[in-house]
Amino acid sequence: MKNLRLKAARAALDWSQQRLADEVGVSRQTINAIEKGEYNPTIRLCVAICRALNKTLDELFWEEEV
Amino acid sequence: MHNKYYALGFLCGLAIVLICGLALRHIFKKKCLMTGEYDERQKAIQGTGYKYAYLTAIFSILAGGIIEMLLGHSWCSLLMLALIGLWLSICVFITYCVIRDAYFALRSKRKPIMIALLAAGSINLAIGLRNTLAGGLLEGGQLNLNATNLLTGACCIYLGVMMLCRTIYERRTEENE
Repeated sequence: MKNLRLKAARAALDWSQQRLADEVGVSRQTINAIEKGEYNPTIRLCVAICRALNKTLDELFWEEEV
Repeated sequence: MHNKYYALGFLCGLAIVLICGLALRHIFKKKCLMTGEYDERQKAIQGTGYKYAYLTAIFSILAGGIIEMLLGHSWCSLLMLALIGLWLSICVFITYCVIRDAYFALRSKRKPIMIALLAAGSINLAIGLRNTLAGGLLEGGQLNLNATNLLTGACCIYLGVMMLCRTIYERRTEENE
């Protein structure tokens, strides 16, 4: 499932995937894979992304029930 | 006696390649061309890559045995068969990792690695073609160690070209994302 909230939070700061990747210490393709829903990051990486984007885990990674 | 000297020469060659490889690795690390730093996704993909390479090694040994059984005679020297399995496994691992973006470490520079691969491939292919034209690949109907250069050259060229194509593809997709 695509993580559109992550993409939106990144775009709100006008950051490129590369900028976010550099901030959290991963490759650009890893950020791309998370946004596309092709990779499930560990909690450590989720926390690092949330800190970089100034968001909470719930805001970016909690799946809302349908 | 000839075999003993040949084996010694082969071992010396291997030692030289190992020393040169370690020296290159040291230089690459010193110049920050190879950081050896991978993120969690890359490490997970490398784990799967090792699994596929391991399976390739097993199946290549099996395939070698089956071919020998079907032909009714040995088609390849034991060391050459081991080298074929080794190169196939290396190619499977590197191809899988490159395609899934897990081969190049973070902040590493790809260009020198690709140039080194293409240069090593060209030199080995040239030596391999010379060996082929001299007719020294087969000995008593068996593929001998003279085919090593041809195999190494073909694999290095394949890996270099594959990395180059992947890098071009990534740059194009990067522009779109």
